[in-house]
Amino acid sequence: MRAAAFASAALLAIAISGCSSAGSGIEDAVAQGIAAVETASLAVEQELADRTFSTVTVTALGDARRELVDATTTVSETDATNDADATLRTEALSALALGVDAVNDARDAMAGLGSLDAAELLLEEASAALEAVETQSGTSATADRGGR
Amino acid sequence: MKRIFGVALGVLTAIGGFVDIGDLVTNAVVGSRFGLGLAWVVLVGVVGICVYAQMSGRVAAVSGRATFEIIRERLGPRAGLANLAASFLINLLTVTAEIGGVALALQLATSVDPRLWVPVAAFAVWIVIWRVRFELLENVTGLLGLTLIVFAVALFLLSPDWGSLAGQALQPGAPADEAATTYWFFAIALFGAAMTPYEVFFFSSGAIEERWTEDDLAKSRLNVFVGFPLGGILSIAIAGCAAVVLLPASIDVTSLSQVVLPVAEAGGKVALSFAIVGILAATFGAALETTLSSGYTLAQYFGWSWGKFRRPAKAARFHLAMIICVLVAVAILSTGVDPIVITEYSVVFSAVALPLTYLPILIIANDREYMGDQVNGRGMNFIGSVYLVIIIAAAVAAIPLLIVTGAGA
Repeated sequence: MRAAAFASAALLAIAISGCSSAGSGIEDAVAQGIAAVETASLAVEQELADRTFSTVTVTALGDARRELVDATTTVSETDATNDADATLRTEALSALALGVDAVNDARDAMAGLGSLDAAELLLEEASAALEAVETQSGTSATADRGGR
Repeated sequence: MKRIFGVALGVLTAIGGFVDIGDLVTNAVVGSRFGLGLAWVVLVGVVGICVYAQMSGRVAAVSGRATFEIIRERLGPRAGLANLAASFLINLLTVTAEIGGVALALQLATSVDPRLWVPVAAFAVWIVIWRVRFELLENVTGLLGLTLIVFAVALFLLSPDWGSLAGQALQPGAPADEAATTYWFFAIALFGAAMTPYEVFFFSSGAIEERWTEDDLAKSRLNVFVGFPLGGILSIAIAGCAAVVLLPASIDVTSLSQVVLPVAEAGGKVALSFAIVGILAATFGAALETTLSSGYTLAQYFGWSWGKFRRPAKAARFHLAMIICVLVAVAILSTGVDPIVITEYSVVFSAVALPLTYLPILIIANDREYMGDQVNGRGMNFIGSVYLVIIIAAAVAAIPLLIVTGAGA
């Protein structure tokens, strides 16, 4: 009986600790977006320096786009619990969209449409936008915890 | 001269064959998130796989019988079946991950969607197992896998701050932005990646395929105690490359294309070519080994005729079982599931199932009825028992940590 109660309590604790707030969900998705944009930037930089094969660059850009789309879906499906969360969600979606556009431009450039240099600049902008949201989400999370 | 060549070939094959998709992905993921803060786990895992493989290789060479045949006889059909079920399911998951890994490696070389490469990779695995001699498939993939040394070369070319890397390795612990639970989850994943059961089944069944006797024990020890640790250094080099290039850029590894970026950064196209060949050889070699291990475990438990030394017609159920495993792997990958995700789960579940496969080997290695004078010595039993405790602790903690951390997300 005691063992069963202990097991139930342990399962409940695990389930509760598996739950997370809207802010942290967005924060994780933004971090995922930053990783994807930085990956794309590195791949493009190596392509411009002729240090890599186009097959690897195209693959890396495809993988980065998949991660950005995944992060976008996560943020889109996050329910806001207050005004700050709602604002954060809007800004995160906007920054992630910039990232998707930049990666698409880079993929287009690899296919001969447009310039890879221009795509590199767009990737830098997307990275800056995502980092701004990440900083903001960190601040919001601290505020949610009463500034501790 | 021929003998020295044979020993050198065995060691080189062991080094090249040590790394598979689980090691590639898990080490890169860990390096990109924790730097070399989990390098100690690779060390623990390499010593563990040495102990495990040495015992099972010795059991096979001394008794002249296959691992699962003895497990069933020694532990009885029920315990043997539990053991078989755990080993076989992990093997199947690993076969899927490795075939997916081959497809991802081919994508790096061609940029063609990996789903289109999956049937090609599966067919190649089947035809090689069907047609190619055991020694040849083992040696060719092992030797080509040696090109993964490029990760160690790349680490030097990147001119990292060695003091900082040594600091990460010598003062292990979770970074400020990572939870302790995540750190321990990846510690278990890395341990599972180093101590994958299929490596041991392949190694011990290979001993029967190559007709090892007690005279071959010295060669077996050299393969294990030299080859595997050097293979472990490759694992640390993969983590090191990720720690130097990807960690500072906040790039968490989620795909194989990210794993090769540090190599391109360090050595350009030449180094990248070696890395792609190495990844292809490592994943293809591991796909062959895991598929064979699936056939070995089933055939040895059920008493079917088995082995590459027999013509397929003389070991029909053994070959049919492997064909079915490959087809199941293709079916799983055809659903569009990410092979990297399968890999991440396969290494964790390897850790979960490890006690079921490790304990019987430890028991049999102490049984004079099978081993005669070649039973474990005191030293080996001490290390073996310490590892039993570590393996059980990892197995018990794996699932709760998987849930709590959301698979390390």
